[in-house]
Amino acid sequence: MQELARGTVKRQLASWSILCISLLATLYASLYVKTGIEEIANKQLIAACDQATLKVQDRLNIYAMILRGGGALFSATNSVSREAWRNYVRTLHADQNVPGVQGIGFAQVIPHRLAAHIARIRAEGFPDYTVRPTGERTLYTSIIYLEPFRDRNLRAFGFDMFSETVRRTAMERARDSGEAALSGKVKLVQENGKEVQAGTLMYFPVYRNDAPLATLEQRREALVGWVYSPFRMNDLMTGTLSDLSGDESKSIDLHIYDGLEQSQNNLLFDSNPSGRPRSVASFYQRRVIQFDQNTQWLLKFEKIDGISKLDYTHAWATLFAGLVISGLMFGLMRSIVNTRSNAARIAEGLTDKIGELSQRLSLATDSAKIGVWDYHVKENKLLWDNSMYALYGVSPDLFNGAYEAWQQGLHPDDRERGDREITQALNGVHAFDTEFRVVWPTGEVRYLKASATVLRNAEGEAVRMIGVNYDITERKLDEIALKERTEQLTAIFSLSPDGFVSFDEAGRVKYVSPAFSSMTGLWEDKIKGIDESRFTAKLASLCVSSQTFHGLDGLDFQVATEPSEKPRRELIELMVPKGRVLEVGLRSSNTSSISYMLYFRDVSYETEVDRMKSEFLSTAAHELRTPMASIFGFTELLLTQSFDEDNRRDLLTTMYQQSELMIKIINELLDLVRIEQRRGTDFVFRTLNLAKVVDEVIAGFKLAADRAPPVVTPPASACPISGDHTKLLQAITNLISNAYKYSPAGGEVSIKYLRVLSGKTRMFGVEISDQGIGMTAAQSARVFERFYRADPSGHIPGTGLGMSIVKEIIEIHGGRVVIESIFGTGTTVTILLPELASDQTLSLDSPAT
Amino acid sequence: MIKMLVVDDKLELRTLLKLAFQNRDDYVITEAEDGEEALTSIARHHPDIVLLDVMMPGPIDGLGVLDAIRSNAEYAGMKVFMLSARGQDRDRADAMAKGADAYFVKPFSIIKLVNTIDQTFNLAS
Repeated sequence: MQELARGTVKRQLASWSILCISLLATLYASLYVKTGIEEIANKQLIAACDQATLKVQDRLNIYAMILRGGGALFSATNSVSREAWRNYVRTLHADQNVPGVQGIGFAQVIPHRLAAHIARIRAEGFPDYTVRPTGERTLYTSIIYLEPFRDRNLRAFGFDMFSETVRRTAMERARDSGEAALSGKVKLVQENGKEVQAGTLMYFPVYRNDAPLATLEQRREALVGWVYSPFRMNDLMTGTLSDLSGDESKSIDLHIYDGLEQSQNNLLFDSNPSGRPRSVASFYQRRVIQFDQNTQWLLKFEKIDGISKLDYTHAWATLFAGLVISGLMFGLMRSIVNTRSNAARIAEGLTDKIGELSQRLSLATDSAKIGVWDYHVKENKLLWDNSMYALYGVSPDLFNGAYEAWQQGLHPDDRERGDREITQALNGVHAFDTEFRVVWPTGEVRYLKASATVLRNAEGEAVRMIGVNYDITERKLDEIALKERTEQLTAIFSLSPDGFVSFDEAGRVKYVSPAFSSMTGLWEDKIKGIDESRFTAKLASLCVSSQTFHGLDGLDFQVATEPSEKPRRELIELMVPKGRVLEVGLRSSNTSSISYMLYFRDVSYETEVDRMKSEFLSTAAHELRTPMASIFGFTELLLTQSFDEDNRRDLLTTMYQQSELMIKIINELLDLVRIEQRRGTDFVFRTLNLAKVVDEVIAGFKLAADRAPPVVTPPASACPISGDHTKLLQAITNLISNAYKYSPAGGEVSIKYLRVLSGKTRMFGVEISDQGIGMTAAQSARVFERFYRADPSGHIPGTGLGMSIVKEIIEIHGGRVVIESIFGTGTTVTILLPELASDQTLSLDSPAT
Repeated sequence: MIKMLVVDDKLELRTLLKLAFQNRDDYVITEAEDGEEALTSIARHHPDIVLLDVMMPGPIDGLGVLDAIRSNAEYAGMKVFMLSARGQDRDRADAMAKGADAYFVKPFSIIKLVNTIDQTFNLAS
């Protein structure tokens, strides 16, 4: 982030630098252009200055030449007349050709005869002529000719220039050098006080014609006078500066000094005498004109504010264009920088976001124990994050990052499948989304869930595979536990004799247990999915009207969390099979998939047993009450009334018999209960010969006086069985006793043996027949009911329990009792007992009592 | 003279009742062994009181006889005492609902029975 900021600043600095540089370049270019313009102007100025200087020099030279010409005129003729001079000058047209020339004159040396000279000139027609200034001097000179001889020049006529120092210096120099000489600054005598200009004078010596001039002395000796010309400097300069073209001339000051010293005293010319401010000049040029050996003029050119007058258009254009370009460049740069910076900022934002996301992701994956892996297919490089190592229970240094290393971590049973699924994912057959087990080096087995995405190159080849693993062991174990539990429950439900019907939240039948279906005949395919009311109707239609199903509303919900409360249960009775009674309960559930469950218990047996028990009890009570009523009543009578001896005996006899009956009933009841309760556990089984047991009974049977013993048809061979001797005696005794009791009119009681095959079991049978009252089919069916008696009149004594006892005993021996009876004809009772196999009969004939 | 019919399939019980009234001149006792015999006897003798066993063999048991008596206007005012080995409340309520005048559960006090019959007819024993 900081780096990025630095980068941005850098780039911004760059853009600003570019702006500065381009501005500087612009400035430089502009200045360069300006300087160029100025240089050109300067050069032009310099050239102009040179030009002007040359002009001045030329003009001076021309003057010198004119003067030399004048001197030549004097040299050529011994005497030059005023007229000749006038002609000469007029011929020259000096006033036209050579500007600034005040006039061209001749100053004559007057040697020792001043008066004569004055006189001679006065004689020429100038009466007022005199030599001025007056006074005594060693040498007199006088301007005798000066053309044009008019105006101001008239004032110079007769002036002795030699008398004045500045002029004399120049005159002497000309005399000595034989060349033209220029004077210093003077005030010309021509000046009349108006427009006074600086003046200068040029002298050219005129010697005697044939005089030797080689030496200074000879020249001084030969000197006649001087041809001279006075200049008014301003007039002289007129025109010289016209070459300083146009406007420039006006902006340039030219000062001409006599000598190199710049002083007011020496100032010969000032082009701008009105006086512009003497500020620092932007343009300054000096030129020196060497006229003769001793005369130098300093020309000083100055430009004061001429710059503004320069044409700087190009410079400005350059500047403007430069600025525009700079601005554009800066803008461009800024734009680039901004774009870059924006891009960078976006990238930075994204980077931050990605960083944050990745941080969050890793936090999430870490805390959720999600491992992330990245498989580079071609390189066979498998990268794992830290969570992966934890998931596989290995340390990073033990994992070499190859595909095979991963495979090695898998449970042996899952390796092949895992490999296949990876291959299929890489081939694009289907996505990688699977579960497998891993075995930690510690041996611990964990369940992992895995899914992955395959990255492909442009050719569709799988290049990388990125995926996640996470631990689902807990869930898996729960699932397994749940599955086991479900299987258990399913087994319990299907094995349970109780039937279950569950309803979902919508009140539709969701599950029907097999037991329910077999109880009611309502199978799952017929009632699954039907709603509660239809279920109620269906079930109710199967019930008897007295005990029908009234639906779930009539049932108390038993909340699963309150198992202690015994819920109210309803009993329903089905029409088919008859007598099937079901107890119906209701349980509600807290789970969403099952909202409540009905359960059905077949209580037919319990109900029947209950009914039988109460019937048995009331019957038993009834059977006991009847003899008790006699005993009780007779006892009361005996106590309250007096009877004769016979009556008393009768009463007591009856009481005795009734008591005996009661005892018998009680004994047989107890016998029956004991046999039932113990189910033969108190029986002592031995190998017995059934025929022998029957013989024993017959031998011990107390016959009534008028009855014949039973007619026995002995068996063909011994009848070996396994049985309890005492119990079998009791059973057979009961049967023979019944045969006699129920044939009160007499008739034969016969006993026969038989062998039958009942199923796979061979059985011995004993058949006991009477020719008694017999029984109807209805009576026969009730023979084994307790207290049931075919003769309820009381004429045939009995408890009604005998046949029940027989049945119990024989059945405990694995046998059966069969009754055939014809009402009014007689009854045959057959008991069947399993034969003992021959190898079990070895001790058959040994004493068995 | 009170005409009494004793109906019971058990000889001992009929004997008991006869003996209980053996010294009384104000009762004339007739016996019957089952329901059919009882109805025949009732039709012939129009007894004042019937001592009726409930559980008897044959097509008509005690309650059947009771129904027959109560459904016949000729027998209006005839007293019917039930004698039964069934002592449950339901049995008693059934009999009383059918119009029995008394219900005695066996074994019962013969003295008390005699007294109750006497009181019914305002006789002293």
